[in-house]
Amino acid sequence: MNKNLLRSAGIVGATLMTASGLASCGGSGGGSAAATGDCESGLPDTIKIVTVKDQTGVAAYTGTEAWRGIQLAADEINSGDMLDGSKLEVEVKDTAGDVQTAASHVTQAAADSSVSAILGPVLSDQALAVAPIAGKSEVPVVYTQAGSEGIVDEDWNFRATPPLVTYYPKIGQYLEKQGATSVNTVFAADIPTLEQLSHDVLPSVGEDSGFQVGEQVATQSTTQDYAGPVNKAIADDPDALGLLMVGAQISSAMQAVIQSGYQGEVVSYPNAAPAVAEIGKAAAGVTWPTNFDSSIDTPEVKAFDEAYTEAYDGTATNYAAEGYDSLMWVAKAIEEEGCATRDAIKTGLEKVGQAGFTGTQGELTFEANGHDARSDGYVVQWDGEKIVVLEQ
Amino acid sequence: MTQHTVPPTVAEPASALVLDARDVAIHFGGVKAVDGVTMEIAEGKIFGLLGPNGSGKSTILAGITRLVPLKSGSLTFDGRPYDDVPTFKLARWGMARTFQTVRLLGDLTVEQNILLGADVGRSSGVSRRAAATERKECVADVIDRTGLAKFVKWTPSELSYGVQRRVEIARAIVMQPRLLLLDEPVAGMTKSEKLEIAALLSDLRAQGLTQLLVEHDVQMMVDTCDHLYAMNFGKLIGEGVPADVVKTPAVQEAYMGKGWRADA
Amino acid sequence: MQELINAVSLGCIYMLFAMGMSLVWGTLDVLNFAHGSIFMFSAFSGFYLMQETGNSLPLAALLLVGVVVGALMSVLAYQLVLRPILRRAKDKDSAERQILIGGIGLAGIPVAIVQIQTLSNPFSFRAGSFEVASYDFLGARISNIQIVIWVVGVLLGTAVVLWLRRSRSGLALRSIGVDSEVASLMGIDQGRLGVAAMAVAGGMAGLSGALLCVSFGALTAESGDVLLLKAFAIIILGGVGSMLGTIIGAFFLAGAETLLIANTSGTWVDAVSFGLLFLVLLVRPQGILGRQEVRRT
Repeated sequence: MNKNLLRSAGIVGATLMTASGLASCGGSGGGSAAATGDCESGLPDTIKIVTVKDQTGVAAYTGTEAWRGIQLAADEINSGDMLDGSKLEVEVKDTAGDVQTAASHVTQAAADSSVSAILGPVLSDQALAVAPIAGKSEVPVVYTQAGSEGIVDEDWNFRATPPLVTYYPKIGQYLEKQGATSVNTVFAADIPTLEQLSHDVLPSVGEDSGFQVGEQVATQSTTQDYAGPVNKAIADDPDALGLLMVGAQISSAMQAVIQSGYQGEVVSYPNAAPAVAEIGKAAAGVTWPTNFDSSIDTPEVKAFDEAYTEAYDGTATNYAAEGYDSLMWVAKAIEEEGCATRDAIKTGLEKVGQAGFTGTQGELTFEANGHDARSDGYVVQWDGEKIVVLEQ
Repeated sequence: MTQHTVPPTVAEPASALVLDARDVAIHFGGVKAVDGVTMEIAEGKIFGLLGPNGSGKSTILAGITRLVPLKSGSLTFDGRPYDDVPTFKLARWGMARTFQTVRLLGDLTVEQNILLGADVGRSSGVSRRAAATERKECVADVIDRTGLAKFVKWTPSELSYGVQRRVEIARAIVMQPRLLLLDEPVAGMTKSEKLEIAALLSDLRAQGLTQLLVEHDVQMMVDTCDHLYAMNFGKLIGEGVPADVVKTPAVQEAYMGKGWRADA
Repeated sequence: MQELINAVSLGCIYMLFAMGMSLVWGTLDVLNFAHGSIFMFSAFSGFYLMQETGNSLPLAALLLVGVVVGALMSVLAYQLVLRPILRRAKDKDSAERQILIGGIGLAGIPVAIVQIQTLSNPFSFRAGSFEVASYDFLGARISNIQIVIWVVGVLLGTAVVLWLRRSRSGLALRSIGVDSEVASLMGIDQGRLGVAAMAVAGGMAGLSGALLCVSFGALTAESGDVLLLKAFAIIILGGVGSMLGTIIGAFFLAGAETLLIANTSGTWVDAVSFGLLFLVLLVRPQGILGRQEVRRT
């Protein structure tokens, strides 16, 4: 990135910081030394970061995995000397799958002047409710997952997970190599991201990669029996079949594909990982693009996976990796500014974002003025026993 | 729930009473539907319970069959107190009843309705096959006696009212009860239908079946019963030989203008 | 042809699930909203045992676990919650209302347990000693699990219908449904029969849970809810209390859904199936084979 641009961004950030610093002095405030004071005294002994993510309820898995990654990052930061001996203090608030709860946790954390930054919820509906609160109370919120549009449009909001639609085109390389010319899909029509993948992303990828998207069978979140939809999607025997649905539905759809005797390529998206593992050998060959996999061969991933395995057993998940990257981003921001006020962290996040950094999700770049993560992604495949990386 | 106001009698040798209802009171909220009624139903006779509408006749039947709880009083069946015995057990002990309105099971055939009664307490002691055979014979016999042979495969809604009532009686007597309680069995019937039912009841008495007949058809009661209780406003207002009871002033008053013939 | 095979399989699953619910609704006046979570938890118990035994349970054992757990849960729900409600309720209407609320409350417990245990992730019987395979059949594909579902569906469907039609206890159970006072005067022990009916209903729910978990590949804590709504529609469609109606309703809904998916966008499936429900309620409130109300004329 261009140095001049960086500098001018820094200036803009500094100006913003001054302005809002003034505002908080004159306003209703509620500021304390830790989060809203000035930076002349350097970093405080502890910097408080509140995590607001589902620990129970529908997204409990995603939320708890993210929290694991966050804790690993905090341990690493605190045991090293990244922040000049100052320690990150992280705590978690459970949103229990509920938008209201998420909003109230964020409001409380924002009102607590000792809180420097918030790591926001994983579900888009919660994130969309939280984003305006962050803007109003001028507290930086960094999300993982939460892939909907409009979340980082509000100032003070940041996202450490590249939205699925931005790295999904990577699948084009794989399909082109397989010589696929026709692709059909079965997708959950009431999940905006998946609908977008099927209707917009795949067809436009196909224009570059030489395939056409034909039959796109819409299903609902309530669909349980996939024999019918899959049957319809493979009726004209396409070269590849895209399965784009959530949770147990991916397992059901794959089971239906296996029972149908379909022999072509099956592509999906990162949520397929647990499903293929459950099905085992019969799901061999299912392929999808992803922002993270524990088998990816980079030093960051290797170190993270080791730490994860030591702390929690099993292999690291993408959700944990995203959580890890999100806190690392905040730490880098504090390091960059040498200051842990809310304003400084916001500025720091933007600066670090504009420069980009290498995390467990590979080389992250950021759009929207350093607010929204992007990555090239990888293409991985289930070989019947484990996930292997095809395109790195 | 009910309470024992009288301690259960210890092995009183075969009092010939089939049913002993003593000081029975049944209240619904503040309404004293039955208020201290005593009835002694002896074996082998037809007892009548006479009273105008709303006098508490059906309520006391509900109490006797344990479909509603007693406020006070005690109930004894064949010498066994049964204040806290559930209805289904009572049925197995040998108490059967028909209802004021026809309550046949609408989606079962006549035969199935009767078969339902035939199942009571017949599974012990004999092999399933023997029980099934006996049941079949018993049902056939009852159907024959009640003249329902040509209706066996019909469902209740296809039958005339009089025939429906006969099915109900058949369903009760196929249980081979010790005591048959009949709640207005001839209400809404034509004269000839009434006579048919009356004949059937007399027939059953001849076979030794004790019956308690609840009616407000005075004529039929006088003609059919051996012993009559008369009731109004939840209390007994007379008891004794039917022809005498209906002539007492209290009963006459209760039935003023009903057009009965005292000289019947 | 493929559509027909798929529709019949789906219909069998709907039928196994809905029949139990219809049975206790029609006879005991228990509209059991916990039926779906019993279904789910039975499958989950199989999953749990699979994990504990190192994935070594054969399919038959999984189905048996489903039946036993389902029957047990259903009976417990009846004895501890639903029956006391029925006994204490002032009248039929308030009984129905309280049963509904009680069932919804009960349903929450197993769902919460499984959500916590699985972190709301799908659970499945990891390919144990049973591999799903499929065969060519008259130009279409049929899988071994579909065949199992057909066989179980036909056997159990017939058994329940015959039980209610021919056997004395079945007759007695039906009589409770029509007029419980008359039934008790016929010497019918509603407590015991009620427990038996709840056990049959729960066992069928558990069986369908285990079968579905194999056939669909995975279930989640919430899987029972979707099925519960469909069963509700099926029972209304067929007529409360009519087993044959429930069977017809199940295959009708399965057929309609399969046809809709094959010929239109799949997003219409729920709208049309519940549209059908409205239509039935408007045109024929007692359902296709529902009985007329005969009591206490």
